[in-house]
Amino acid sequence: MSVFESLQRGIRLANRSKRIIVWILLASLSLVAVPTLILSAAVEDSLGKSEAGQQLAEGYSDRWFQEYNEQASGLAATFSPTLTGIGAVLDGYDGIVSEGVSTGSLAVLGIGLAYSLLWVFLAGGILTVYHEGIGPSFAQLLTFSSEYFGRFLRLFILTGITYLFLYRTLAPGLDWLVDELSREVIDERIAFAWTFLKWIPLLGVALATNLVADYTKILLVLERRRSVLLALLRALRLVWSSLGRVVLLYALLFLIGSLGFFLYWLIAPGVSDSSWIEVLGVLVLGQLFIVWRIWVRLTFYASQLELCRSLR
Amino acid sequence: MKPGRCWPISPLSGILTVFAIWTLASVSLMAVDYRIEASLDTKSRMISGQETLSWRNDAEVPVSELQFHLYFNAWRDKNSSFLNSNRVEAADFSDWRDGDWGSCDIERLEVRYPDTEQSGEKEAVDLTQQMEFIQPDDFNPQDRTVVRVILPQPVQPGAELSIAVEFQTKVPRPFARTGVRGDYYFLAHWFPKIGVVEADGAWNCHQFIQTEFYSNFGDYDVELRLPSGWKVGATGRLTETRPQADSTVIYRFVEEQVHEFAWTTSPHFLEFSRRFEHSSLPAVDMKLLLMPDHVGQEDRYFAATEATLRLYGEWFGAYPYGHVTVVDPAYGSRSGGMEYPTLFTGGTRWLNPAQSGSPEGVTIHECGHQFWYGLIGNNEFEDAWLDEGFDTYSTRRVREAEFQPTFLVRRYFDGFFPVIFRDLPASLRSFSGLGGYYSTLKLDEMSKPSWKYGPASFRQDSLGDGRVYRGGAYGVNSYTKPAMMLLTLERYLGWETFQKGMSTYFERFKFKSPKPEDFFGVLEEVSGENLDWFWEETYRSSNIFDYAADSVGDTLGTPWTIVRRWGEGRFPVKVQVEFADGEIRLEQWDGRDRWHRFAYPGKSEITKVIVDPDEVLALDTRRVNNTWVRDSEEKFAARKWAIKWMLWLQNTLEMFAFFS
Repeated sequence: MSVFESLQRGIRLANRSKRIIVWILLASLSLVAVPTLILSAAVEDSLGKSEAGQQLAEGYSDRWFQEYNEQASGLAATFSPTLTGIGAVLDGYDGIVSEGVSTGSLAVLGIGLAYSLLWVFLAGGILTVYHEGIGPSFAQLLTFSSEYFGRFLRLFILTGITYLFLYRTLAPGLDWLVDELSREVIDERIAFAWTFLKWIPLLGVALATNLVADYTKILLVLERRRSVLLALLRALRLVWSSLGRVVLLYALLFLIGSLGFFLYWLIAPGVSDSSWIEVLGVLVLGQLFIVWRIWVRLTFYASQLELCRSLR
Repeated sequence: MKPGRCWPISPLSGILTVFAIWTLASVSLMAVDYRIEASLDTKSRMISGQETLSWRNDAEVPVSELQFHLYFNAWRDKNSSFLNSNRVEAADFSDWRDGDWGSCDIERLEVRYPDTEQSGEKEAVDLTQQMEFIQPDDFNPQDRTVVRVILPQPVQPGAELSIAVEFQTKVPRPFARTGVRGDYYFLAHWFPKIGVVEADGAWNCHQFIQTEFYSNFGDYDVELRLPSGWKVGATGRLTETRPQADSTVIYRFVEEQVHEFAWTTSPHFLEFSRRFEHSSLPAVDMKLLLMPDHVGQEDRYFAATEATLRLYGEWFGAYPYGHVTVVDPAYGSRSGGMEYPTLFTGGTRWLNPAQSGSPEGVTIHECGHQFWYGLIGNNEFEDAWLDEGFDTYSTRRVREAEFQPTFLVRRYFDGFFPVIFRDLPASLRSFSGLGGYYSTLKLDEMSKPSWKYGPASFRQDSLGDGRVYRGGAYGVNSYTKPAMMLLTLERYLGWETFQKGMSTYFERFKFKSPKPEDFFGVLEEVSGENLDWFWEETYRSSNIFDYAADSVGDTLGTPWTIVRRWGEGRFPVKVQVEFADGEIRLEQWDGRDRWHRFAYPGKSEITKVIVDPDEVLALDTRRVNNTWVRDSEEKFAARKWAIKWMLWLQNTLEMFAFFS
């Protein structure tokens, strides 16, 4: 099977996963609901019955934000006006190349960890569903998922250690190297060139880890393996032996994800929504983008599973 | 100086030159004139120099010693008071190497007394061996930023002394304001500089710890020997260019009535020139030295410089020098955003969207220092607010007049890629550094000498450009609070009166070193008001101001509102009360009690209350609580923004999920 056929089949499988997408979206909304209410209360409290409420309702008040920011703490301190629109997405990408995953608060880190664990739990079920070609009920998905959770959790810890090494050891080392190379540089374009070169191994290792972890999960399901380590070795062998196809598929999937990102950049709503209808529109558009991101992740799993099946 | 090492002339001719220029230097009537010859060796990053000072004792009593600043010794090693001060205690020098440190060493110091009937021809007295480092401020014996030499005989009031100094300056890796990176040099306070003798004969020659500077005005005549092909910009006007046989060029810069000489050189500078012209102000030749990665931003630099010369000139007084050099600092050089007479540095980035507020903001501010610092030469060691606060206030005014709107910018991917949020207008409060001072306001009183301001952590500026500055008590008391204080006075007295006060102060004290009391006196004289209560609340205390519309109610058909004073600071404020029938009442409250109740028997429901509706009290630290609105939309606004934040959180979760 060619890479493009794998991609096509993967897209078809992901398209048939509407229920899974909805369940994941609902899980995402459930996780963020309470923190959102907490933040809303913090903003409301800082506004009081002031005129700033009206200004924020219609647009933005930098003066209010200056005051809010001076006194906010904990979860409330993660709020920034530049997290709106495309800023909501860029912030995450920026975290990967600039400083590792930046969350700003332990609460956000905790929520992020919970959501990651949810995906770790569901990944086994999702891959089984794609492998078996069934449209699962919620109970079936949970059953399939629970079968693999222990193994996927061990893999999650292994990849976590890799990412930790990446951002605690490799990234500081690369930063030091860039600092050394840029030590006497007086042209920002040259400094950027060195920094760009730093991103290549950094992103390369991060994405390679992600790719190998994906194939390890797939092989754990396809071959019903018990040992995560053996599956990992098998995944490494498989990726190495079919490097071109594996990387091409990953790149195509990445491209599809990027297209959605750039489209969202064009239409990402700003802060001028001043009625409930407009706010609802912003919310719906935002959720559509989240749906897109979930769909892209499912497409990664499905396409890579298809390719893996053809390579075995 | 080590003859022959860096100075490409023989020792004998060097000595002859020193004594030849000795005669030239003693003609001015200013307190101190400098004649300097300096040669830069770009391989060793050393400056070899000779300077001759014609110094006059302006004190009312005889002076029996001399004191000099050796600023570059602040970066001699980690033991200096500068590198151990509160403002840089968190600095990281792990990547500094032996050759990165700087120094300034006097190799020979001679004085020559004035002619008297008895002595006949002047005799040079070598005092090199009598020099000793002193630490008048913190007694740190490791600090070598001030050197003292006892004179063999006192200098009488009004008498002149000629001083010849040979020195070697090692240019450091840039730490603060000055240094070398690659082949970009920015040199400020690089030569031995004499301190200031006050009227009582005491030396005002502080160690270089955490402040800026203080010097006498004087004439500077400086020759710089630089590699051929390198561009140069400096304080003063270029009067001579003499190519030498050894592939160097000597540039001569001359300026009168300035109190510092700074210069920059690099082979990479691109040079642009324009002329500022105005119907009632002197013309100014503007020169811009631009780094190649900032090509395309020259118009932005010139527009900001031109606006500053014009508006400061119209508001406060004319810029008299006829020329100014704008230096676009090199990437990573840490020399951006600094002011020196007739030369200043701006600062920008390779990718820099229009309406981001920079380089306009920094250019206005540093060009503005040509007035508040360059011409009003206050003592920055002790009263930094007299130039920084004045200039922050004035910068805000220029920006408001000419450079609005600006928008929030966030720089992504290691700070290289800016994204401008064109639906998020930035307030001048944040761009002028006026935000963020609530927490640091109580750290010290403004009246405390600037060099004594207490410790506090740095804060990152709101431009998000990675620069770290304006820390703690020094920042708030030198920049933010005085700027707000002046804005409050402007609104309290009215622009016409305030502008008259500012221009009178400028005219009266240009080329002088005024104290805060001089400014207070001028403003009270012009306004005809005793403002001592205001100086007491602001300058002499660390009080904060915070007035609020506290609550609104109705008792037995009588609507009322309570306004509050949450802060310690007192200031008379107006209170605007709006009613359901459309009537608006304007009340005056002296603002002295902790709260005041306004009741309106027979009136309709109160719909809105604004304390200080004209925003006279710019010092009010929390403006949001100044208003109370019946039909406020805080719930809707909070939910709207919380939803936007929620979308960010969901996207962050997806990032987690992708890598899980």
